[in-house]
Formats: sequence, structure tokens, C-alpha cells
Amino acid sequence: MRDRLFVAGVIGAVALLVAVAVLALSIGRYNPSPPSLERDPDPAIPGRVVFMDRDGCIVIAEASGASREDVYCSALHVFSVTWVDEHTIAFMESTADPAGRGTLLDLRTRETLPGTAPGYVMPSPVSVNGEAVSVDSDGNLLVSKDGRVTTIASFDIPRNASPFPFTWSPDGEWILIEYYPPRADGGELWIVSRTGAIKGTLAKGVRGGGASWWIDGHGYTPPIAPTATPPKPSPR
Amino acid sequence: MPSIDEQLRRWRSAGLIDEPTANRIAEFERSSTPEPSASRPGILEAFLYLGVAIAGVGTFVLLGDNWEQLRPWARILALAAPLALTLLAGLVMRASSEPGVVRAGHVAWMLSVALLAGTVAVAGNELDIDDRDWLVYAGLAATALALVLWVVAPSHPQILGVAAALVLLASGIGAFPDDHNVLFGGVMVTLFGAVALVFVEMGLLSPAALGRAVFGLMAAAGIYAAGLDDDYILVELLAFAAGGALIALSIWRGLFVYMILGVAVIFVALVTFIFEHFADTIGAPLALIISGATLVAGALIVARFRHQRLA
Repeated sequence: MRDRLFVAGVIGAVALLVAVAVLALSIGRYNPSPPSLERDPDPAIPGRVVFMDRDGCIVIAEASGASREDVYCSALHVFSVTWVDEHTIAFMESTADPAGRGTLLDLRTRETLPGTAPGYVMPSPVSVNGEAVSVDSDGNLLVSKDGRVTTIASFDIPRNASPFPFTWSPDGEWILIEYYPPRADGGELWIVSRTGAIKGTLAKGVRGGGASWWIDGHGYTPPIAPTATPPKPSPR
Repeated sequence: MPSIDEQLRRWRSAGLIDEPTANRIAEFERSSTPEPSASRPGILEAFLYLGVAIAGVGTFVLLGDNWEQLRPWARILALAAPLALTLLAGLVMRASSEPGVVRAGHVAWMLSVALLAGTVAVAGNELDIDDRDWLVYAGLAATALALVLWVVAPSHPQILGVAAALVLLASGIGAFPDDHNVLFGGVMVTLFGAVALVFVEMGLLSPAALGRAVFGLMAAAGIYAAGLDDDYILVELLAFAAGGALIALSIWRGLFVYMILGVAVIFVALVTFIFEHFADTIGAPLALIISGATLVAGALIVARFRHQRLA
């Protein structure tokens, strides 16, 4: 019995040691997310970003990370949320409007006006300054203009999950990026400055389907793209 | 193999032993050998296992059909209750004087290892724990229980339980990284198999015959699986080293099971290697010919070794 206890102890200890090392050190887990702006806001980032959370609510967050607010929640599938003006946002709601025009939400009164939204939100990789942004397969964030490509930031990413630059800020100084960690419950929204000097995670637990950035005096991005055929809501 | 009575008759005829000595040997063998009917599994025992297996499959199918309608606590209980019952049944049956009932108790305990892994996995899923984490927890829990049951009852089913639990844990560790990692999981299977194999050869982990087969298989198959990761050609070559080590162990210990495992892993690794790296250049037919020739060579080596052992 003593011999068997010794054998079981050694095998159990090896198994436990390996498992604890893997769990505690997060071996093989990637964590490319920049520091949280919610915990440590950066007042240099201007404007407000509207997006969907995983509970189906539309959230407006200060781009600096200083504050955020749920402005509309729906049991239906809401997607393609965008700014229209300083006090109005538009979104699409599944089955709400067969014509596919969506809904306007007045942020002052919280009243909704069905069927009056102007179109669909599509990713926009080109800024007002004509700079284009992309991410290569190694996780490098690339900005290009006039045939010159600059790597402004690099992220340590897994093979099957890559950040996706969704839009530039209306002033062309910031990039809003979507990232979906493997098997995580919801995505993340990152903000990176045009030079890559400032990086932060604005939100986690984000549902796909679009985000939109408003800056006073500059308007909103991405531009609304009126289409005859509505894009499919993101399954994420 | 001739019976002891036949052997005694031959030895007496040859004048090697006298009749009183032959009678004393026969008497000794009769008293020290257990009754075959009591110690060997019978057809009734086989039907018993078959019946339990069929009823178990039916239960799981019934559960599967209604799984979506069950509340979380009911899902966990659906596995936890059979777990408690199999543990209790094993405990009671092991106290029996009937060898067949004792064996059934060991099988019940082996099943309890699988049920514990399932219970932890379902609980983890229902508690919204990341699926990569709860697979490791399930493997750890199953390994702990399997080892405890083996300490109490070092039997064949418990060896299988320990091996299965270690493979589950290794799979959980391989699935833990964001990029599912066959290299990591395969190396873990080999590590666990090799550690257990050392204890088998030290005579501390028994039953040794089954231990050699299953832990040797883990040591060989794990490193082969690790080599399936496209990024590391060196690990593919390690499968050949593992096969060679098993063949060397076979010759050193005079155990044929290691020879079979060693040759098998080298053959499978070689076929995989040829197809992966040379099929494009030499073509599939030539790759098949080389693989076939390798198989024949492996069979000849095994046959030669077995012949030497028998001689």
C-alpha cells in the first residue's frame, strides 16, 4: 500500500504541477488587448463611441473611457448602430422594418422613430486624411498613404483571431478596432492613435454589428452606406 | 501448454521423478491453484456487462434527447447521481467473496472516473467557466479519483481508468492555448505515459502487463500526435526516437509488447513523414511502395526478435 501511495503521489503531483503551471501562467494564451481605458481613462481621446454590448443594449461611451451609458435595450437583434447627429443615433432592429431602414433614437427624450434611419453602417478603413489602415497576419497594424506603408503597432495575436480596424475617428487621428478573442463571450473595442503611441481597450463584451464615433465639430464615422440589400447581422 | 498432470506423467516416464514425488507435486498444485470456474470470467459475467452497457447507452440516449429541457442542476445531477451509485456499487461488490462480483466492482469504479469527469465538465459548462479551463479541471479530478481507486484496488480496470484520465488531462492541457495545440497535448500524453511506465518497470505499478501496454501506447502515440503539428519537424523525428527507445526497452527487458509498440510507432510515423514531405516530389505510388517496404521490414524485425526470444 505504501508503494502504491508513493506511485499515486508522484503521478498525481506531476499532473497537478503541469495543470497548475498551465492555468496559472496561462501558457499558450494570448493577451493582445491594450490597457483598459475604463480603468485608466485617457482625456486626450476625443468624442463618443456608440456600440452594442452582448446583452443587446446600445451603449454610448466617452472615447476617453471616462464614462459609459446604456441608452437602449431590445429583446430583438439590434445591429448597424450609428450616429446621425449630436443627439441622435440610428440602428437596425431585426424584423422591425421589412423595408430595412431601421430606427432613430433621440438621446434627449429616448424616443424612437421607426423606419427613418438613413442606411447601413459599413467598416471604413480610410480616414478623412486619406490614410488607410489594415492588420496583417502577424498582428501588425499598418497605416498606408500614397504608397508608403508604416507599421504603427504590433499585437501578439493567435492564429485564428485577428483585430479588425472598423473605422477611423471623424478627425482622422484615431483608429477604432474590433477584436474577438478566441471562444470569449463577446468582442473588444480598441482605440489606437494614428501614430500608435496611445493604445487602449475601450470596451469588452461587445457584440458585433458595428460601432460609430462622434466628435463635436467633425461629425461621425464610419459614413452611412445606403444599400438596397441589408448586410447580414454579424453572428458574433 | 500441457497440463501439470501431463507434465508429471512425462517426467515420471522419463525417470526424472518418482511416483510419491509426482503425487506430492500434483497435490501441491491442486491446493495452490484457484478453482478455474471461480476465478475466470464466465459467459454469465459477460452477459451481465453487456446488459449494463446496453442499459447505460439507453440511459444516455434518453438523457441526450431531453438534455435541452433539463435545468442546470438537473444536468449536473444526471451525472453526479450515477457517479455516487457506481462508487457505492464498487465498494459493496469488492467486499464479495465471488471473484466475478469483485471484478464487476472494479469496472464500476472505472466507470465512476468517467462519470466524475463528465460531472465536472457539465458543472463547468453550466457555471459559464471557459471551456478550455473546465476540460483541465475535469482531467485533474478524474486523474485524482482514478489514482485513489487504483491505490485501493490495483486492478486492470483501474489501470485503464488512470490512463484514460491522464489522456483527458493531457487533452485539456493541449486545448488550453488559444491556438489548439496538438504539440502541447501530445507531449503531455507522452510525459504522463513515460512517468507511469517507469513505475511499471520498477514493479511499483501493477498489473504490469496491462500497464506496459497502455502506458507504452501513451508514450508512443503522444509523441506521434505531437509531430502532427506542422510547425516543428524535429518533433516528427522524436516519434522515431520514441519508437527506437521502446524497441531498446523491449530487448533490454525481454518484453515483446514494447517491440510491437516501437515498430508500430516507427511505421506510422514513417508513413506520415513520407506522405507529408515527399508525396509531392516522389508521388503517392512511390510513397506507398516505400511505406509497404517499411512495413515488411518492421514485420521481419519483429518476427526475428520473437524467434530469438522463443529460442
